[in-house]
Amino acid sequence: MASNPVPKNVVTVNQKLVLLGDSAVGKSSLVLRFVKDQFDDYRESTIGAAFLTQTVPIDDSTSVKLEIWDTAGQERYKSLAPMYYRNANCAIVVYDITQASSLEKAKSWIKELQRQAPEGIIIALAGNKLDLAHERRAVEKSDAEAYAAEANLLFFETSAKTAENVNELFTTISKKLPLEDKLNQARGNAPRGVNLSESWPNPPSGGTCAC
Amino acid sequence: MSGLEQLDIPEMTDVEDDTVDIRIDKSRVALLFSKSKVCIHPTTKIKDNISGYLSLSKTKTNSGTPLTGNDILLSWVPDSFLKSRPRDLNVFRTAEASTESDLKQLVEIPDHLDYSFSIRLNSIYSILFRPPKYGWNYGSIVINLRNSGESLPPLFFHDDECSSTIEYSRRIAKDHFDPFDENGNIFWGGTHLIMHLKKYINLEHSTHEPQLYLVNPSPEDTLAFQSHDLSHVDSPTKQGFSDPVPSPKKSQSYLNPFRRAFQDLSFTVLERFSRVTNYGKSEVDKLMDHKVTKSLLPHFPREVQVLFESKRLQNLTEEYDPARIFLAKWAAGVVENSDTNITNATSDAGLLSEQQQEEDSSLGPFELVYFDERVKRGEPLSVDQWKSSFNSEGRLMVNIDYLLGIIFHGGMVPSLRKEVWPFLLDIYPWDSTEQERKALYLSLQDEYIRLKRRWYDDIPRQFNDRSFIEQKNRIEKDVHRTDRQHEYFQEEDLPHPDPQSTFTGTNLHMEMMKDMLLTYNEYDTELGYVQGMSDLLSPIYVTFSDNALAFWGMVGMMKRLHHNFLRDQSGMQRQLETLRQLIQLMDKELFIHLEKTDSSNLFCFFRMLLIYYKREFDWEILLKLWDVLFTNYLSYDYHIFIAYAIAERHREVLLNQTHAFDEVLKYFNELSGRIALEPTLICAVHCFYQFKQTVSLIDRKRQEQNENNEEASKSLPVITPYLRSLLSKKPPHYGGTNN
Repeated sequence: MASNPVPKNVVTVNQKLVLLGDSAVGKSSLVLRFVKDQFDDYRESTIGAAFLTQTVPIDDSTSVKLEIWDTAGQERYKSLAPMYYRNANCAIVVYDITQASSLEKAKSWIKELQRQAPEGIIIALAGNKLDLAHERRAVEKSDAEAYAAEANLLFFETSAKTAENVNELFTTISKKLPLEDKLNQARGNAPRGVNLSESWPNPPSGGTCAC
Repeated sequence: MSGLEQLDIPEMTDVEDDTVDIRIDKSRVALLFSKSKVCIHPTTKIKDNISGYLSLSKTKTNSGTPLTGNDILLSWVPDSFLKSRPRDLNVFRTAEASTESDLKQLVEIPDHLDYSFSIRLNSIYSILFRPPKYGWNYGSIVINLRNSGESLPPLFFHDDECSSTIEYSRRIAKDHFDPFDENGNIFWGGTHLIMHLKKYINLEHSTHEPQLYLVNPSPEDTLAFQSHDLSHVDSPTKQGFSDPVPSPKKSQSYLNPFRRAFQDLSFTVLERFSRVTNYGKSEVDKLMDHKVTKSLLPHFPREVQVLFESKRLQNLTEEYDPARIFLAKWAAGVVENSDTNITNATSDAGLLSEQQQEEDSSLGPFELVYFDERVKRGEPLSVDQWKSSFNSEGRLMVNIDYLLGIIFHGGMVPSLRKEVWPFLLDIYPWDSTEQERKALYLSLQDEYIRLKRRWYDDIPRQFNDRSFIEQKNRIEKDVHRTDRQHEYFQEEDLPHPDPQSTFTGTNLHMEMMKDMLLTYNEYDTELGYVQGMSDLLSPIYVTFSDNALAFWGMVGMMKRLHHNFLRDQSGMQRQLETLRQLIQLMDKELFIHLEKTDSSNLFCFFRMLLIYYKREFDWEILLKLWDVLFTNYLSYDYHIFIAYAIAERHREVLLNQTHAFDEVLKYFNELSGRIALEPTLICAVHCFYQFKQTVSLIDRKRQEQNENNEEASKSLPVITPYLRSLLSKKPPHYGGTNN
């Protein structure tokens, strides 16, 4: 697993992050840029889910190891999403600034998360493909920003292609995570992995979970 | 092996020594049994293998009394030694080929040369027989000596190259039409050896471990191997030692023996050693000295054996963990190595297989299955074979199953796919004539154009129908990121037809793909276009290079995979559940591990099953897999067996190195492009037959119990309708999602 070298006296807390959003808005590309600092013009669509990890230093004594779940975007696979956000600590909902409809999809994901995901989940809204802003912007930054503020979300416009704001997005969301409890635990044993329900694809009945 | 130095001490009367030098005429013996291609594998590399002859020979001359274990030598001689002795080589060959041994021809058995040995049968304490595993590893034996407690290096039976094993299996297959015996065991070189050993010595199964045979066991030995007796070491925690080797369970007898030998023995024992840390040194020594432990030692990799030999048992606490990690890595290495090994072995065996193909052309397909599944796959269907299967009218004149069998076992030469796939994908009926197919093609072409024009000519719809536009955009995006590395889709030599599009360039093939997928979106009113379909179409399109054929090929493909794309995921759920039940039935240990790691939903196989392994293999290899899957030769759901085979081939790593769902998923995701197809296919055939046999055994048992009005039938595993449907060559019904 990819991770930055972490000095020995630093406590690392595992946190689960899930990426959601319409297909082809750049979810996998954001992860690829963040984890491997690469970009692929014709990145194949994600089938099922991909899993990657990256460690984000928070301060001198703390790091967050993000366990990133990258999901398939098409609505047809929507029933699988609860498997991924069920125990998530944070989520990035991505839209494409050149596709107005993708913001609508993002909004519906956010509604679902706020209804179904664990309480206290940190959600960021990311408008991707900022490199195309001059030629084909279809969503005004101010509109999306206003929506994000209203819905209490972190907000960034990003470009996986140019890397603009990508690290900022992941770092900010990591720093926003409430780590106090985890830090106390982590001196002992940080929980390994995620505990996913086997009852997929039925969405969980309530939003409560052990996290 | 250090012990080899001690072999061949010329003192036949000294019973304290394991070895003999007594030979007829001092250095020459008469062969009773000879087997070629029995090899020592000093390292994991094929090039280091040392091939030789294993033989039984007589040391006694002209005596009326029957031969006993004291009179018979078990010897192994490397081929290199016989190279310079053509006459002796000939005697070994003749002895192997004939059932009657010609005792007049004597051969020389060398003293210590490489790994060669010669021991009296009576000096053997036990022999461990490890049958071949799923075709990729060879069956082997390990001989444990009586007095020294030493083990000789494992001898591997290269059955695929051994003339006597091939000949004998062929005879069995002819007589029984089934390569397995009633216990589900396959005939291999080791079986052959047992048959001959039994003529001279009493070979007794250990009840602890069915692969372990005791040679002329004393009553004490027999007891030790039957009563699980380690009571003298255990008083503090009796549980910990009460069962040093798991007693053979019925369900386990279908598991492959290599795995059991490794998992059940090595790991169980290592695990128990880990608990040894609670005891004093003397208890540990007692455990180490116990016969059962000694008999297990040969199962361990060399490095672990060294650990045990090192006499640093008091440090076992510290050594245990490195040993565990080592074993996990070793297991991973075996998977990787075996993939390369089998590739080499397959190409090495290429010549042999060609010869066999000719010799065996009169044999039925079942016998071909038998040979192929063990070592290598068949030859691909050739153009000549294909052409000669049709009469002058162009109607198929051979049995369809025969043809499908060839494709199933060996695929087809790539140039044939364009002709054969239309049959496999249900475009052309198998009983059609050439002329009928030409007519059919024309009408299918018309039909495709008609379907396409339904949306193509509907300009208002193209501009106003929101759902149509949404689907069109989705297809656009997916086609522009499907197989872009393939030469068909690489270049962007045309400007995009829609100046508003985010894509600036395109090419003819991408535009054709978009048209076909949009037409399919209209054609399949239930599903429409769903992400993943572009992955399915692209190999079909490239193979046919014809729009109409590709479109109807896609339709044929989707008949197979329709249920994969249902909105409620019931089709995927059903398949993953079937796979789950298959693993539960066939490999309890792996199943329990998957449950422990929250992975028993088998979501890690989602992508593989959804798009028929499209993302798991490189292009050409994928086409080979599809050749096999399209035949439905053994099962309509054969792709489930492929999944099971992949899991089985990686089970050691899964068991030892994955601890949570995310790790399991990541492991499977990262297998993409790294799965060796040939050994996986060979393994899948084995899995299928093992499963089939398990089902029929359970059925038979249940029937017997019912007839006898026994209540025990509840304890038999249940063969659910899902599992039973795996044996069907017809599409299953997807009516309900319950089993």
